[in-house]
Amino acid sequence: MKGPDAVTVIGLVILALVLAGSALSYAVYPGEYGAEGTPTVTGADFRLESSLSTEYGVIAIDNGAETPVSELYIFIDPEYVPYCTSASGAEEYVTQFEKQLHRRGFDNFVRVNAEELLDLMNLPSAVGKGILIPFGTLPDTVYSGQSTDDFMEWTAKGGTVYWMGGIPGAYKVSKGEDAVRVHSPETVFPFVAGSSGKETIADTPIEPMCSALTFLSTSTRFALSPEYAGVEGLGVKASDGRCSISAVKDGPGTFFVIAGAPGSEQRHDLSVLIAAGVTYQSDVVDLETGSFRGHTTGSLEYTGANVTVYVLYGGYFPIYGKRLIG
Amino acid sequence: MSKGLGIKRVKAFIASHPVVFIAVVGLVIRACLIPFFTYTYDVYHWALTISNLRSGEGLYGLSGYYYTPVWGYFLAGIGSIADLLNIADFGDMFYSLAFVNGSEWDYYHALVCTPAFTMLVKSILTIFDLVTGYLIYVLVKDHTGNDRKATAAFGLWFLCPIVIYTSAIHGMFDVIAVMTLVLTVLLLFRRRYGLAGAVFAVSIFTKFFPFYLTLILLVLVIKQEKEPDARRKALITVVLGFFMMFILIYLPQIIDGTFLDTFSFITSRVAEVSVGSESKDVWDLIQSIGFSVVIMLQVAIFAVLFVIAQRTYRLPQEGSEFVAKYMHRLMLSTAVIFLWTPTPTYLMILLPFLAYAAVTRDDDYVVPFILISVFSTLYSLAMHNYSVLFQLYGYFGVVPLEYLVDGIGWFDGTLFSITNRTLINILLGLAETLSIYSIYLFTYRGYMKRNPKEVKV
Repeated sequence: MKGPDAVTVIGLVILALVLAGSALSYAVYPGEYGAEGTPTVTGADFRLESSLSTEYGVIAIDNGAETPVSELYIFIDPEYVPYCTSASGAEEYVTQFEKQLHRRGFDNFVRVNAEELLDLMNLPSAVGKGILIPFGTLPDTVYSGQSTDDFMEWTAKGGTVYWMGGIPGAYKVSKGEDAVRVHSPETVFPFVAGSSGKETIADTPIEPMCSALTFLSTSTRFALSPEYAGVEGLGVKASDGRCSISAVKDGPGTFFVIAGAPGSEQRHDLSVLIAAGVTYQSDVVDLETGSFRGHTTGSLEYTGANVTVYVLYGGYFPIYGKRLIG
Repeated sequence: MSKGLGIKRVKAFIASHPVVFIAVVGLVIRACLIPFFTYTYDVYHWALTISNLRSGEGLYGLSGYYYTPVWGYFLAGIGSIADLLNIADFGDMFYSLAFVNGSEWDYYHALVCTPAFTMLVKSILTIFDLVTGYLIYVLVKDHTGNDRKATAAFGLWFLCPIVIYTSAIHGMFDVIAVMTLVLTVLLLFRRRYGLAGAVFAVSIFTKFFPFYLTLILLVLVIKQEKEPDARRKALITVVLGFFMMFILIYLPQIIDGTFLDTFSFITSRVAEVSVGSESKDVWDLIQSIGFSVVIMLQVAIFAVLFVIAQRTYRLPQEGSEFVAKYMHRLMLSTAVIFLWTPTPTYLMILLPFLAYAAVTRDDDYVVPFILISVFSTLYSLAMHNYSVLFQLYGYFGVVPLEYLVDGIGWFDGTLFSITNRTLINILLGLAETLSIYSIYLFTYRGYMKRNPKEVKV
């Protein structure tokens, strides 16, 4: 009996490859991942598991006197459309961000609308809590461009703000209306003095944190000016001293500015920044990197009491993250 | 003396196995390019897609993959091979290359994939290059019975610069669409209709261009099956094969609700966030106008394709005469798809059929084949330019940073308010388009040669 010819065999093999790839994509992936950390006298021990061959980085971050954010509120309201995107664009971007947060091991987040954002200002304490303003626009429920606005309560109560998409305080929006520019936002947020929409490409990583947390963005547009006292740079630094991520104390609270237009790199950086619990005073005190499949163990050495240990699998292509300690 | 004998043996081997010799030459060329030169932008997205799959978000859960699913499934397989080979590091950020983010050209990337990862991707594409070459060989051999012609067609394909560049440097997967299209044609000729329909579905849902050829491929089925019952049965089998494979390909996206996301290459790739005052170059304007022109041209393209299919259906010839005419019109149909200026890799779809025409119908078609090969490769090179050296800079340290800064700086330089890059892209895009149009010129010349009476008229 005559068997199938080579052309038929090639056809069948291709179909089989496509179907096998489909099964791999959805039935076999993702891999099984896990990580545990245990504090020790000299620091921490860790045990990592992965069914797939992957890079890893285990990072010990000393937070000094700061409390890492463990609750995140994301402001998004389709009736308060930001200046730089549409309601659907904002929805799509935030959805992607939430997925990335989840994959980096941070699940304690919730969306808040303009009214709920106002409610947050009435919390007795905001320590350990963060608010993300993803598109550089605040709703008029909390902000009118005055230093007495409710939004000021957040940092006054020790909360953290993650600001993306423009100069902090530069835009406000009312329900159902177009966002409008706020002139001289530095009268409300003095630390934005010297911020500008000018782009300077950053090319000097602030190590060891930049590579350890795989920061990608090199834009410094809207970054805080390094000339303002107390501005700390993270991420990547440009020749003029501006950084892709900048942080400043605002009373007991902290303001993080993720520079540049909200894009995939900014989203990546912000998700790792939050998941790893980076604070204004964060310093990397130990770092273990390598690659493995199956399981591996190791230890970190540090002496501080307020240390976060975070693990990230996949290097610049993260597939899993977890805050092990802190 | 033994040395002389060795050379004689090699010559004898080449003479008796020219296809093997061409294959070896083609593979050696690719082997010299693959480890060192990579266009980093697209390969970065392949690594991102694999990592998205590994993180449990499927192909479309996280942004990064903007094509129909088939290539994504191949990437899943590539990811598994990477896992078996312990390739854990897919790429590294070279912050010193961040200057590219200041370029007007958006398709540079400072995150450069590792040589191990890119070699894996490109080696697999090379296998598809080879299989496609084999299928072209079989197609010509089946139709002509002439081994030399089949070998020549194989050589034209496998040594074609744009084919080599696309798989060995660009890391782009167009070859899979081409391979499955040639395979579809072969299977139709062999009356394996169900399988042909299924393979055609793979072809279309790898890259959309084979879709344009649907009508003329159906004409082949209709012309091959003379009996109405057999014809009906054949058509139903093709369509069933196609739809069954379509459903199997899309089943995961139908289940997880991301079906519409698979067409994001037509709609939009990312959520639009614009913080204003981003400078726009003449090239952006050209692309914007060009996109509108491409949309408008679709009416003309489909009209011409319909006419070609209809006239092919009415051909009185039978047997080998019909096959010769059919294959020629299939080649013309692939050329008609690109009445506009395509991204160079898209052109690969017409190369197998142009090679076929050059070796079986008219030697003169070698001229457009060479023109298209050369200009599309130059166009690709001009667009990717210094970024194909990023791996050599980052991982091998053999290219100085200043060289890249100066080079890309030159492309960003302006002449009469237009960047050098835009000028070069316009010129090479024009050359590429004219080289496609030269097919029509040589078709006309060939027609005149075969029908000298027409000249008098």
